[in-house]
Amino acid sequence: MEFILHHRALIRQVCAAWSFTFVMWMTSMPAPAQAGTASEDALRAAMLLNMTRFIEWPTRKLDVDHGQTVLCILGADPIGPSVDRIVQSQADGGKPVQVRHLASLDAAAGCHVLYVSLGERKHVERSLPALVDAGVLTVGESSNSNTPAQLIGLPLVDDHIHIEVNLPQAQRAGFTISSKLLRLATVYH
Amino acid sequence: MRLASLRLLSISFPLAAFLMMQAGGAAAQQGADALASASLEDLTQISVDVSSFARKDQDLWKTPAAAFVITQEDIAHSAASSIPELLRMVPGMQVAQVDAGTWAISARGFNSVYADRLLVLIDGRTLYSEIYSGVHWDEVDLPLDLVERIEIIRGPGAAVWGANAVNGIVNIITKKPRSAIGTQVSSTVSRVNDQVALTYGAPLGDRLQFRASANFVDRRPLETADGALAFDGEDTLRGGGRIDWQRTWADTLSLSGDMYKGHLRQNVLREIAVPVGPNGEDTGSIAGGFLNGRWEHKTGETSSAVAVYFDDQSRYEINDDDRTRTADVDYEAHRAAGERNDLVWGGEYRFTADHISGPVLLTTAPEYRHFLVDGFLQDDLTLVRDRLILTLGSKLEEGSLAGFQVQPSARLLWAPDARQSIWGAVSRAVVAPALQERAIVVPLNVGTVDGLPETATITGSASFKPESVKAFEAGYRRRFRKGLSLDLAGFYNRNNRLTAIAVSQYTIVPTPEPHVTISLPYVNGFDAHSFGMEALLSWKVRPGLSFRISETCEAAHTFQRLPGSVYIVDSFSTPRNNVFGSASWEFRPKWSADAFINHLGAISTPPVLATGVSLQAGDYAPAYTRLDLHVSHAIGHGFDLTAGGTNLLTPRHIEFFDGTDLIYPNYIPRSLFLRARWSF
Repeated sequence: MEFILHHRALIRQVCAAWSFTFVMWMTSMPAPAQAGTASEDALRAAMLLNMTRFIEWPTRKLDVDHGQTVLCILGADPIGPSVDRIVQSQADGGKPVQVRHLASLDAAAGCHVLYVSLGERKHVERSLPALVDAGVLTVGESSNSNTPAQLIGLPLVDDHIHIEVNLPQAQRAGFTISSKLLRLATVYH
Repeated sequence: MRLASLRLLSISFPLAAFLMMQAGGAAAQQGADALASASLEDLTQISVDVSSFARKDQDLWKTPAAAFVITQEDIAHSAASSIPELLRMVPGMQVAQVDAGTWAISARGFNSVYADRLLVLIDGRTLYSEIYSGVHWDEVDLPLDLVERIEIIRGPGAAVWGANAVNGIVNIITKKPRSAIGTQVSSTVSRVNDQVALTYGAPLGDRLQFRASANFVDRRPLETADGALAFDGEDTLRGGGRIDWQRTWADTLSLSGDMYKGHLRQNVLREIAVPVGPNGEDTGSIAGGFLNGRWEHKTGETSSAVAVYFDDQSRYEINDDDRTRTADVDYEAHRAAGERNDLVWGGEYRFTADHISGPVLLTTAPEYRHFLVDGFLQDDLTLVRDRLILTLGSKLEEGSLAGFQVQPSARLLWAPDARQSIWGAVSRAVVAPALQERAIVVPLNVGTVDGLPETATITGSASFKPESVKAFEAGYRRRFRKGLSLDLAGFYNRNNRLTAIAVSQYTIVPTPEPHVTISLPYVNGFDAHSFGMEALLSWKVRPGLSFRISETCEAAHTFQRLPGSVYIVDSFSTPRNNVFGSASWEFRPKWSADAFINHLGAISTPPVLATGVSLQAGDYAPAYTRLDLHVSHAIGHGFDLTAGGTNLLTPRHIEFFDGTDLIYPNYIPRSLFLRARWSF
């Protein structure tokens, strides 16, 4: 009893905190179901592949020479194995995707998507605008605010991967980006 | 005590009952196939595994422990320029600056400059000083640009992390070189410290990257009670680097290392009978470095890692030169076994050599070599898929400091749906006695008795037993709609064999001059029951606008376990109340404003003063409120400017005093700061 008297203030606070929780919980509304969790690399790989469905390339990238969507990964990036695994597991439906692992930018103009590893970002920053003009969708792990020359950024913010689109530059180069994607993305104007 | 816990339980039971009525869709760990077929919208909703509580990547929201992560975004929005200052934003953490280069940091109580219940790791390397039994936070002055994230667990993590992970773990993870490509220069100028940091990262080949960094910090003197400049201060220079090589897709080899050197000034307890300057003015230095090699092998569902490090720390203070050299080999592995079991296991061997020298040896063991061998196994057993997970594990260790120890833990997590989880845990953890408790010798001049000078000596004892804790914890997390989330945790810890000082009979010694001596040996003199609750409510209103409110209240009840005059050293020394609120607002493109307000209750000083050490007026830490405000502007071309102030409400305040530390506390002044950061 003496203890309770002694710790009256504390007990009052504990009660207040729990009641606060309770009220919070009572007033909370049912929320939409949450998708689970995944490793960062696997998630980014899945987003990269998924995104290609919402992009229309400039017409010069849609001719007979470009029967497949060529997805290039520049440099050693941990998403590489995940991309390979997903491409192998989805042989059917949609335009076939071919994955190329590039060590340099020499052959990058032939890609539809160029994923630039963080380690290579600084190397290639100057070449990005020319590649974009050649109809290559440039995607990077860092935010567009760090790499303004890329078309799409997939940065990790808190514990989710965000999509960022540099829309004016994409439109100038002749890309059409579906509104479905833009709705999910942060659009840079 | 019992009544109070009953009350707490009676409060929490109705809540639990309500929660049990809740049910909904469950979340899942997504495999490659599931990810391939998921919609883009679903993909943007999936969260990334960021918690390494159990030494494997897992979802923070499915961690059966009180966990918090400081992200790079948090760092960018904080006024802090050092790691100890960053920890103020962690719910349930007690951060108190003692002098320019000294902090007392702990979670769940028993705070002190030598707080021995918090395990601090940088990239898996322990920073715990086995001489002092605590962490020297001035040796953790990494440039914040290098920090990837800091994961904080409150409560025991000894089942996988080992001794001293009793009341919490601070796991500092630095950036991989691939995430630090480019050059960054940052500089802070303020009343309390000046700092310049430079980091540079570049690829060396297709699969090889490196980063290098240098950091200089000058911590200016704090203030005395009347506003005059205090004697303290510290400057350190640090340089380091890391190379990562992705040998194959699955294997990464990394080698990192750094070196530092610094000078410190501090006020030590005036009664200490070691030649220092007037008013306990003491000048010292620190130096050290490490080399850390790590090989990680990661395939889809399994991972393993081997790490080897060598670490050398020297500290010269109070005319005493302490050096600790550590060599450590560590192995850990993670693999799913069948559908229901997810195993983590590992082992470690550590050898430490302590060397102490100086004109007045403050120890009876100037050369002390010790070893530690340990192994751990932990299993996440899925009882109901994605809903109910039982985590069982233990660490077994044998070593010179703590002897043979079993530190098991059992945790149960129930996720009624993907938006909420409830967990409970029971664990045991021990504090390995440091050299301080075993072999310290600190002579004190403590005044006069009957006209004769009186001296006392604090002595360590070889029979000192490890302090141990049985911890009972429970927690609840919930994500509401619209970015609102709640994280609650409560604990009840039974702490045994706390450090205390026994006061023996006075002895009159006739030579060389007649004086009175008292022996003050370290004993396991007290037990304590500590309990409390930590709550965090965070609200991300929209990108660019967020709020956090946190309340921690905690207390302890101590019981003397030895008869006679015994005075506690490991006192609770933590305010009963710690409330903070923070807000971050991007009010215009490229402009943001941040505020942090923190109120801490008073720290009551324990009666340790039988040694005769005289407390002066103001020698305690009263309640205080701290307000930090700043505005940041991204000027362009990678140039960011931040201006603001810390401790804006009062001219100065004292944050810590518990009467058992050798370091004398100073007052933290109001400070304005200007920070510039340029990355290119």
